[in-house]
Amino acid sequence: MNKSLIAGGSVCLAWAAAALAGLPEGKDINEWFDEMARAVASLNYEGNFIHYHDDLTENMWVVHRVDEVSVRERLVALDRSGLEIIRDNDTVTCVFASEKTVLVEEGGWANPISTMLPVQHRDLAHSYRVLISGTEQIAGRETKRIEIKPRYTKLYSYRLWMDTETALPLRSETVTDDGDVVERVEFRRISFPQHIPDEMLVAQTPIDGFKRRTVPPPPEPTASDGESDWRVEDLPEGFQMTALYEEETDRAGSEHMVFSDGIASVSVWVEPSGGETKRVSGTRKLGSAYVYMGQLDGYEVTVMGEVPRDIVEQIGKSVSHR
Amino acid sequence: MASHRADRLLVERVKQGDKSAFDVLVRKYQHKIVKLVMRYVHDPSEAQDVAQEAFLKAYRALPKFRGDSAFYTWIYRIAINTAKNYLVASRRRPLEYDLDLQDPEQYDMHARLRESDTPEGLALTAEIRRTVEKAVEQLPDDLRTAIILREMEGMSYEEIALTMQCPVGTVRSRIFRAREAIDKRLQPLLD
Amino acid sequence: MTEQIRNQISTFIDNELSVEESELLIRRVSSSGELKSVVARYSLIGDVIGGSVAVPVPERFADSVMRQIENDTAPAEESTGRFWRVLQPVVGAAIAASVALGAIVLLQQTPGTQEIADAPRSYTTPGADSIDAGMPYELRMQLNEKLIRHSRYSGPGAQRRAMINLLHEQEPDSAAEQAESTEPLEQETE
Repeated sequence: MNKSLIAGGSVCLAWAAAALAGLPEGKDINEWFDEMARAVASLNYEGNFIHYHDDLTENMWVVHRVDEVSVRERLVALDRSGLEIIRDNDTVTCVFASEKTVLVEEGGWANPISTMLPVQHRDLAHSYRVLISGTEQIAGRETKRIEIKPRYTKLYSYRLWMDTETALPLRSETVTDDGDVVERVEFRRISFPQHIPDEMLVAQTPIDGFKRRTVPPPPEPTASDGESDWRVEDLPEGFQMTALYEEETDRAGSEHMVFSDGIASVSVWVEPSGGETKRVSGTRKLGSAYVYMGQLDGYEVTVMGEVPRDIVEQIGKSVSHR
Repeated sequence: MASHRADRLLVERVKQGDKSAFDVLVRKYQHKIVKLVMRYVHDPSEAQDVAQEAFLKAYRALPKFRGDSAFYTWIYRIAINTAKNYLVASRRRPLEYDLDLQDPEQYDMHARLRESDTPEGLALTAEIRRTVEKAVEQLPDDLRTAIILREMEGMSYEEIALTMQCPVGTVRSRIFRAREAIDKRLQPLLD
Repeated sequence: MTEQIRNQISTFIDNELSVEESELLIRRVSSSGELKSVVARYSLIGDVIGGSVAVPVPERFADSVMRQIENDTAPAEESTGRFWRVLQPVVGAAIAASVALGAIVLLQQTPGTQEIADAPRSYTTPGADSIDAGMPYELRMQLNEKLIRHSRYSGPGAQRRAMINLLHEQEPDSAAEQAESTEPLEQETE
């Protein structure tokens, strides 16, 4: 971790971190996330949570077990009978009962963010400020409510409710500039069992006669050193390129750039025109992400991210050839 | 995959924090990578700088390397990107179009067809090649066959054992003895 | 330096040494400049015999790389990764990413079977400016694939949505698709 950046953290952040009960004083936002991540990685838990987005609410059940040799997890979609997801270390098995299909993916877990460049670490405090706004009860437990607000832009804000005792986040919200909730994940009930039996971690759906498909891990992306053939001039304050790779599985010459300010991420694809699919222009919604599609000198530009509509358009219109 | 076992183990060691294991990878591939970079950056000294930068980038990115592809394929791509960007930064055109260099195997084939390095590099390369070829010629038949089947045909020890109708342990020993004999001649050139 | 160790190095670079022996050897080689030079020379011999005509590289090359690495601070973990890893338990982020990848393969291999009978109605009800509205099937699939790729770099919610979108895509009949693909969509940004 870059100590000079930590030292440059704001007074506000130092105060915020110190105000967190149960966490050592003097930590900045980055160390504080590390603390939470350690809690997340080491805890056994079991519970029900809801996932709200696009005016929908999904009910899920999860059990998560960590021991010296393995991490195992099982998720069950309670509203959609038969969807079970079982993770055993880096093997993920999905049971789609209504499809009578089992998908197994091996090796895809270990490093889901696989093409991040070795960028210089950017302190979240550069782009976001953190406020502790009191305590609340979530799932019958005391939590600290933490607000993470963008400093300079109209990007989304985030709210976290951290369990005071364990530092596990029990609720999270993504919020627009106007205060509308884009997404919410919230535990309605949670327990932290010392012992989780194996039976809780295996799929309950009988899978006799199911189609079985093995999904190979995604191809190793082309490593790159951050030099794109394209320039994206109008990035929101605090954004920098965090990944760049050639899209080998797409048409030749395609590039996929990822920009991030530490929390929000935007993908930019630039691909040669001329595919069979008729392209369109404009901005559309895809889940709670926005997608901008445009053309530039024989290339197609696609910008996608869980950021406000204005941001994907701003970025998309500022792409130019180097 | 057995064919990349050594590299995979070295990569794992590096990921566990053993930087020296990366040193082994550098020494294993430095010749190939410098040669590759010289297809873009002609000056040997600059090419070595660019190759060093490529290794440094690979080291930094290694935690993200999952090992789905071979380490060599991966570092090869990093080296090409680094060389291209070096040329862009120094506002120079690549020495040649790189369409045929995108694939390591194609590159190896290409490299056999062209040797257009600097006079000094060319002279030393030629001397090394002459020395190695001569050393190979003078090897006893069984050692020569074993090392050629390994290095030119890429055969595994088991395949060589079948071809030469001898135990795998003998193949191992023959290849080692061949390398030792060649190394004895090569070492003075490199000191 | 014993002959036995050089013999092991020879076997190791051919990927023929057992894992156990390799691990021991790596430890020995890692701590010996002399043994590292053997690796370099054996590799050079292989390149020359194999026809790669490798360029000889001076000893100081690797030393210089390692000196730079020694002076280099360890690559810091990206803050994006840190933030979303914290939120992982509440959504199961990486799982969903894997599911999404799996789902697209499923759909690509079995076109027309992706509809899920018991899906909540609202999953398939696009909003006014939704990507689903009047968009060619191929393009929707391409965008979903992009969403999956993007999701590997961002929050867990997107990963789940990518999966759900994929599972609820329905291929339009070919006539409708043809009509869609020849008519430009409404321009929303101009």
